[in-house]
Amino acid sequence: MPEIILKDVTKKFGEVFAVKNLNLTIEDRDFVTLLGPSGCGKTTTLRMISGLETPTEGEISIDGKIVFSSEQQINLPPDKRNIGLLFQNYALWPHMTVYQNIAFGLENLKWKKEEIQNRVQQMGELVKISELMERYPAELSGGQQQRVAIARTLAPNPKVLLMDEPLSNLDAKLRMEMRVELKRLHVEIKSTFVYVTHDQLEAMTLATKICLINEGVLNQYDTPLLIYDDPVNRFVGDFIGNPSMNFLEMKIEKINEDSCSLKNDEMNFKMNFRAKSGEYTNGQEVYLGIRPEDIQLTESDKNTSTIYSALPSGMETIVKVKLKDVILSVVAFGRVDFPVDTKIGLAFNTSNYHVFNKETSQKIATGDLEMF
Amino acid sequence: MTKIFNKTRIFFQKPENVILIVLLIILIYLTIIPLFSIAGDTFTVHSSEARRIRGSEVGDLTLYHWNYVFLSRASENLFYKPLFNTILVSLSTCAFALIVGGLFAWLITRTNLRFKKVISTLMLFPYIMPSWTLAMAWLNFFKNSNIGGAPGLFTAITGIPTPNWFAFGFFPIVIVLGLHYAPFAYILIGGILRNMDANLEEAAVILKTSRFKIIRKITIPIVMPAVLSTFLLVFSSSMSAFAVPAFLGAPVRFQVLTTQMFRTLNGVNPGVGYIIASLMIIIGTLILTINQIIIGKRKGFTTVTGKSSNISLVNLGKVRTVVSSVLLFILIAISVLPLLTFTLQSFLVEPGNYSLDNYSTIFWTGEGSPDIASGEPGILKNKYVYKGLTNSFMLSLAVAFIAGTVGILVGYAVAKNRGKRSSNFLDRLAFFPYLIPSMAFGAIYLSMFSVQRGIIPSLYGTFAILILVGSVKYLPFASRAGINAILQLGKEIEEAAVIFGVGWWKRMVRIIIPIQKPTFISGYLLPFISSMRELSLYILLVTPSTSILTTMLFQYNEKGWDQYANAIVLLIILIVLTFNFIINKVTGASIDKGIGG
Amino acid sequence: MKRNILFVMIFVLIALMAFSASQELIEAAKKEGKVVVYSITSRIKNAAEAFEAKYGISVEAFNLKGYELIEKVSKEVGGGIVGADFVIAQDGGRIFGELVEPGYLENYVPEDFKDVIPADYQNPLRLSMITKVFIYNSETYTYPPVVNVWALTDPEFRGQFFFKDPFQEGVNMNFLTMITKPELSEELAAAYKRYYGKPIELTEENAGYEWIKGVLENGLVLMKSDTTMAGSIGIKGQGIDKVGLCTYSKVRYRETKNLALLPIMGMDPFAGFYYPSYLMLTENADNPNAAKLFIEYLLTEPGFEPWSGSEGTYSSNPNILPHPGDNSFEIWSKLLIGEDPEYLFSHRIDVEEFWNAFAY
Repeated sequence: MPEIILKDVTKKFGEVFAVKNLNLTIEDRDFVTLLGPSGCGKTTTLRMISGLETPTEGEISIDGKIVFSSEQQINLPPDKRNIGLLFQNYALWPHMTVYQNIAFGLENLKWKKEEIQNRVQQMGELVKISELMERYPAELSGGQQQRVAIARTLAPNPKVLLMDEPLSNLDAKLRMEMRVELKRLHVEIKSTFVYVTHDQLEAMTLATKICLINEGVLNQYDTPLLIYDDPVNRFVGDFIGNPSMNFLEMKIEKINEDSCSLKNDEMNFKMNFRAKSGEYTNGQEVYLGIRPEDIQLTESDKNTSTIYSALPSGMETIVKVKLKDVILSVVAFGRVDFPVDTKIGLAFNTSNYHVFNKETSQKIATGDLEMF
Repeated sequence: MTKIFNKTRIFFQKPENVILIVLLIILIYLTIIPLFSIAGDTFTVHSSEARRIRGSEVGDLTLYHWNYVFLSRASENLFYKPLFNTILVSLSTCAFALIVGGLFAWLITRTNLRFKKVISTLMLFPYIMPSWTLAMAWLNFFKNSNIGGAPGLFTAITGIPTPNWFAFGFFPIVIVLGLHYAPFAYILIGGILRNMDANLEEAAVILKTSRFKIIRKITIPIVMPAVLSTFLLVFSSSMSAFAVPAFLGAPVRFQVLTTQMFRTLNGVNPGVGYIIASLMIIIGTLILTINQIIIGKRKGFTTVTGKSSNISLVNLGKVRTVVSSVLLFILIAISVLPLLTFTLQSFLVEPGNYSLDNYSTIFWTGEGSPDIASGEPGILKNKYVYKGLTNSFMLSLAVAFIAGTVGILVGYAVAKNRGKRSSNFLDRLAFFPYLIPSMAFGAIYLSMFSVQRGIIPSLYGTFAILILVGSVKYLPFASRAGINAILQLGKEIEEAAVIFGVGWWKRMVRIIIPIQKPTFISGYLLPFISSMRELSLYILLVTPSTSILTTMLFQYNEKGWDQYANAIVLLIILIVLTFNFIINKVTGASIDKGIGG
Repeated sequence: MKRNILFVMIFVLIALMAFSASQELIEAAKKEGKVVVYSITSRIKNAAEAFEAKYGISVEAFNLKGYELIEKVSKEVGGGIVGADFVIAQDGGRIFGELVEPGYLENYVPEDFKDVIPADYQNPLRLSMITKVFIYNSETYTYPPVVNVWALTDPEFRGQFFFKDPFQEGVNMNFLTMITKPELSEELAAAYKRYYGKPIELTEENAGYEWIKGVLENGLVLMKSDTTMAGSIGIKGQGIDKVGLCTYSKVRYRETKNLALLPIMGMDPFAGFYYPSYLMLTENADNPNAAKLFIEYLLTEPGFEPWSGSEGTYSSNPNILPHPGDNSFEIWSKLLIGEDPEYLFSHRIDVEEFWNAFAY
């Protein structure tokens, strides 16, 4: 059971917290992405799991074995942790051929010569690079280098595969291909994947679970769809989804058991709660979070707005509309386009609208909206 | 307590930390501590001074030296005049080097000059050759019988005796140093001009600005930081030059700080020499620190885009061929003629008689007779020359090996700990020897290691002290190379091996060093060549049995045995050029690509 | 007849015994197999070759300048570093105080020579006497251009007088110190009167200092090398009218380097100076026996041959005759100034200080 458990892991660089009191359990055969903006501590977390970075405090165990503990003064080196690490820039050794790159680690782990030969061949077939064995990395394309790097990482058969933004150096088309391959690979080799990325789309599409980190602190750890639909705070709501969530500054008023009114100078909504998760008081300032696809463009004259700009991409069109003085992002599905400066009505027909505390940014409630 | 112990243990589990700490300790001992030693020596009575300072014993504390340098009857001749001369020489050298180097740089990058390739190659020649070779060549050409023994080639050919001011002292020193450093200015300024985004100038062309105005308003301001940096580096290099003023200045009693330092440290009044050395260290450090700041700023506003489109070249018109030919001729004269004169002089029996029957191989292959060669066997039969040659080689090899290896380690420790204060400190420490004028650096080692220090016995007269001083002095070349190499590599390349549990030694030998081989090799070879041609660093520390080629050259020159001196110069140049050529072919590195100096 | 041969053989044997080292010393020396010498005279290398050939003991002979030798020996022996086994040194003004007194150098007189060499040449043991005389270009001038030292302070002689840098070669500083000694400065004052026809007006302590200042302010040319000086003065076809106080032995270049060099023996009040070169063992000699053997060898005729082959150097062994055509040292010593160790010890610093204020 290669399960990875992080307990109260903290990493400080000087006086700065890179990771703060991180608690995380990664289940066997999960494909977990560590997601967050750059500098949030996700790579540090990955490196602490790998053993390349030493936590300041806390405990990490892999497969039931404690690999690091500040209490018990345990700190196993990377090669004793049964992990593989795939680097962002592949880190292929430029002076070795593809074969040597894959074999070097195995030689060092004292594998027998024939075993190495077989394993390298096997790996070559797995990632489809069998014909490239005698080439040097400089003679390979980006995608091929990526495959070699994967083969090298997988060769010793690690129980856990750690990946640090492995696709960020590839062009968009290749990246798409590799995502497909990675997801298949995950199923084929039956190990646990931990994957660092700052690309929320990548995280959404690949992961079984997303671990969203901001400024060294774990914000939410859930399946992709839960994270998308039920963000615990404004940051999560904002970070996930493209185009990102609209936020309207409102005041909360007329609070009932299962509804309230949300007001600002231009707009006035009534929200019927579907779920509540925080305290609030009358007159409190909040953000109303609305995903672009939760606004519908209508022919009616309700909430008449002006088309500010429209960006059709074929399958869908991102429309910026101006409602009074506020610009909102709206996604219209299908092959549609809208001339600039025409009038259009808006409707709020789903029940996925979120209210966030303006100060703490925590989510207060979710529900549907009625427009006054 | 256990927590601290534990932290320390984890800290030292990483090889880069162990290396960092060990190197810090060693380098502090070899660069910082000696400064205290030399400072102490400026207040101490030395054995040759005990009689001079009445009523004192060797080892007493005294203010005599400070007083003598700054406030005595001798101060003027001992210190103020040499200081003035030094500043004058350095400033004039800078002006000369900048004008000549800048002009060449502009002609090469901005005009339709002919023979560009040959000219830009030949231009580097005077810089690759040790500076004193040009001084020797000057003497061969222009010395006069007033002072310099036999008249030189110029007088022999034209019959015109050269005046003293032309043959010796300020004028030739500035010309020789200027010519030596002009290529340096050319490299720096030319580099900027070449990489400068030509659009900047083209934008002005479109606005119908005149050529002259473009140069004045756009080109010059942009190359200004390079000019300033060249100015400071040339200034500090000419300030620390020793051999050139010693060869050309001594006959007319033209003293600079280095020659005074050498004279006083050699027995008469070491305390005074240590004071001069200390002052030169302070000035040198100051100048190069300013330079670092300027370079830092220059990186700030980047006009250097690396994209150099084809700027329309200035058409030299009718004078194109003339100018090109004259430049080519001058460069050939500067780079080839000296070699010819060395060869010529080494075969000359009667001084000043250039007729054919006066040539003999006696100074190369003779057995040595008291009548002609003062008993000295010819260069090729001279066991002392072979010993010097062997010593030079062994020394340079050892220096290269140590400096190069430590350079890699410094690079590793600094790059791996980047951003940490200790890493910055090590970086600066490894660069520090570069700031110290060579002879002053020799002086601090003389002060530090000519007596027993703790468990380290007196190293004076041993080969070890030469190796030590050379290795530390040239460490900056190697550590620059090392830091760049490892930073360039990125940490992942190594971590990829850590993941497989590859040990540190194997990571270095199998991964890091093979990948960055060319850079590391240049980190070994630059110290080698520099050491091969070095004089002023070693001259205070050599003893007869540890003599090297350059110090032998200096001695032959002092004795007035011109033939031997010339023969040895030829030997050294041959070695330096050969190695520079090999290195250049193998790795692309070259002395002229070093950090200057 | 046979008896005669026998007598000759016995005589030769006795003679050989008198001037050859003891068998024990030779064996001990051969066991060491090597000897290192620092010498102020370059011709040691020729002697070294002869010595090597005779005994099969290899010699490393280093020719150093006066200041270098003192510097190296004091640093090496003082620091416990093995360097030279023995030295040929000069400049009594410095070596007594800086090398002999601290015990860095030790005197050694071979048994066989204790009766041969004059007693006052034995402590420390002298190898030779070396002369430095005023020299002129004998091609340009049939007669010396000057015959009084004061002429060298005249404006017509500005920049025409060569002198060896006295800090590089301390014996020259000894000479300058000696002329400030009362007796000699009086002679200088008298010479002044003879030259200018009027008594000297002193602006400095005495006529000695006055003369030093006079030549320094008259563009005195300081040389680093006697070889260069000899070349500068003696070159032919240049109409040279210069005078130098130069090692007399450099006149040997008359033939080999085609230089026109002659001494001004009638210079008033002195024609130059002389100084001894000393043979001394170093305190920490690695090869003391080989050194002793070499010292002994240098005192014999074959050992001294490189020096006796030309003018200007005179062995302390009175049995070795000067170069044919040269005057005996007796004659020279009357024309030249010698060294007075006591006076040098107490006054050289003053002259150095005086010199520093004008020179460099």
